[in-house]
Amino acid sequence: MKSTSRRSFLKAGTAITAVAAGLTPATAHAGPTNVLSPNRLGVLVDTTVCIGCRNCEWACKRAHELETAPLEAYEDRTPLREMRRPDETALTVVNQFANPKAPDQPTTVKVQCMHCDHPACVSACIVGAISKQDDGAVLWDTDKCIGCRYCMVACPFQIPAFEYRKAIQPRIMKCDFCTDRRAAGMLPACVESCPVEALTFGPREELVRVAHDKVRRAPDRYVEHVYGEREVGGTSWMYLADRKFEQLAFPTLGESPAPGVSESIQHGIFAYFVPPVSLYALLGAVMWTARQRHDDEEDQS
Amino acid sequence: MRRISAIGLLFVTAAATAEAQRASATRVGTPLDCRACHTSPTPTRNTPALSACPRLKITGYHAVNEAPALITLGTPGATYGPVKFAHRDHAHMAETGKGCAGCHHYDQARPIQKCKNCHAVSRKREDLGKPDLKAAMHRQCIECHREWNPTAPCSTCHERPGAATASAPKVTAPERIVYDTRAAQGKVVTFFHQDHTDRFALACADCHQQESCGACHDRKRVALAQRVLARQTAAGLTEEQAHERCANCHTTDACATCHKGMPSRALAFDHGRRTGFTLNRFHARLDCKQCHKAPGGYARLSTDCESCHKGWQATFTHAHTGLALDEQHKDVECAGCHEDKSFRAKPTCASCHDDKTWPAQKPGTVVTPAAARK
Repeated sequence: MKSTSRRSFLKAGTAITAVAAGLTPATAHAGPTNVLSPNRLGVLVDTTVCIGCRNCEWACKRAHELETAPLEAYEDRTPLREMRRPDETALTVVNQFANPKAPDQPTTVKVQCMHCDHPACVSACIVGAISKQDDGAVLWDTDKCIGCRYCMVACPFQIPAFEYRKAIQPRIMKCDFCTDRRAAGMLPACVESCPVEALTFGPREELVRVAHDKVRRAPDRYVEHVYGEREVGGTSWMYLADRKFEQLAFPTLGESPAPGVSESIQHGIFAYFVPPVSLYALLGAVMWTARQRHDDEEDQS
Repeated sequence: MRRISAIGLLFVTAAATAEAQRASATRVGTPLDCRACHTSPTPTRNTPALSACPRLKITGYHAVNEAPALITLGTPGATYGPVKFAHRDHAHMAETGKGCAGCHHYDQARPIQKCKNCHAVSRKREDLGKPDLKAAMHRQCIECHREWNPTAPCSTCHERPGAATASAPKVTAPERIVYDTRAAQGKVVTFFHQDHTDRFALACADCHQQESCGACHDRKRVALAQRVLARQTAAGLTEEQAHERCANCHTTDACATCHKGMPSRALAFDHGRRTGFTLNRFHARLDCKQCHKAPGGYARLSTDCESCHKGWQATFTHAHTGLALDEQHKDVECAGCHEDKSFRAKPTCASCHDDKTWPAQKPGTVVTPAAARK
């Protein structure tokens, strides 16, 4: 993807406004369907394998230069007792759920940005600071962001976090799919650190095949659902589980991409200026009848 | 068009898989995993994807004691050292569980493969269908270790300076187990576990098979220091399942042996059926203690004659069998006529004579056993 400066963005914005004024709504469709590469990467999370060691949390913080306790401290499992969400201090967290099959061995689920194929955050960002990369990653650009936090509202998984505690240059914080590490030929930090390889990294298409293969081979172990294969049009991170995903606090989402809904409303309102014109016509009609009545009353008096 | 060909491919693959499973089941007699022979999970007739046949190198099963005692696994990391794995101890314990195949899966056909023959050393790899080496090893160990300690720290296995290596909950055999059965009479059945193990000198694996690690390393039982297990109910079991474990030995017993108060005819102890060693008419006359000499026990004895009849010199009078051997045959080795020292089978003359056969010709004179004793 071509990176743009703030000035070129403003130029482009002016041009788009001019085109939109010229009543060509077709150009306003900004869905990223056309940029999805068949070789884009992903991660398959097998929650039946995860042991909740939180090595991924530690590795993520180290890779992103965030403050962290030493690895040994992560053997303490008390933080798992409460449900957590990724925030500006931890881009990934592991949550724990009761396991009816083995009460001693709770099910643990890693949570981070899903890197959607049709990201709502990209669509919602009014300055194009978030972009979907060819390799599948959804990245945030500090140079463009104006801090509106629309992305936080738009995300169906409630992932992007904001550095509220920082007065100067606060950032939007979320998983960046370890783009820098991968550029250096390394695996994402969490994937590399997982002792049981509950996280499998590879081409998304291959992972979908592997996921269905696992379910087919062990139908007693898994429910027949690969979460993220179709949710909101597909995500780069996908999950396998032994029970329904809503029981593991996954949001129940349709298969249509999230931006499809918001964009159709946003763009629909201004399509051919029909709604505003209708609104003004209606208001005009009301005014005209009111005026007529007023004139009649004056004539009678 | 693409969809049609995809469906077609699916059918072909499914049929091929089914056929492969059928073939392996009939070929070897045990349901082998396809991957024991095939490198691809979906072999077809045209491309069977066979790996080098392991049967060519079969060395046969080896005893647990021949297994390597200690194996060092993994390489030292920044925080955790390698694992000194007490392989033979684990192999002994596995005898009550899934056996060697519990860990050495896909290895039903010998020889034992190295883990890295299948599991890639690097996590960046082509085949994403199976975990890499590090993950495969961790999964094997963690599955059991989590069972007896759900919060097992890494230092349970990995050496770490300053951290004590945790040990499994001690195995405590119960003194007795009380079963709450569905029987109308003799509802409560008490199994004297310690009596059985002491008297018959049984090893755990003699009775316990296919157990999980936590069945013995039960931290809850240790925590309660409970020597008598709580009542176990037979709820949800069929009659056969409920009796399964006892019926392995108690094959001919009356119900009242266990269900006290249940009216039934007592049956004699059948040494042959119970132990696999049928007493012949000489052994049957003996008192139990004449063979089972160890105090307070009836441990399994070797069925090798020499184990009891030490230095036994044969002063065998053949006439007692009803045939007095003549001069020519008196000094012939027993096995000369009785092949493989099998005295029930028909003797043979062919080792010396081409023209003689039993019983048309006899190597002596027929006598009555009573006459021979005079």
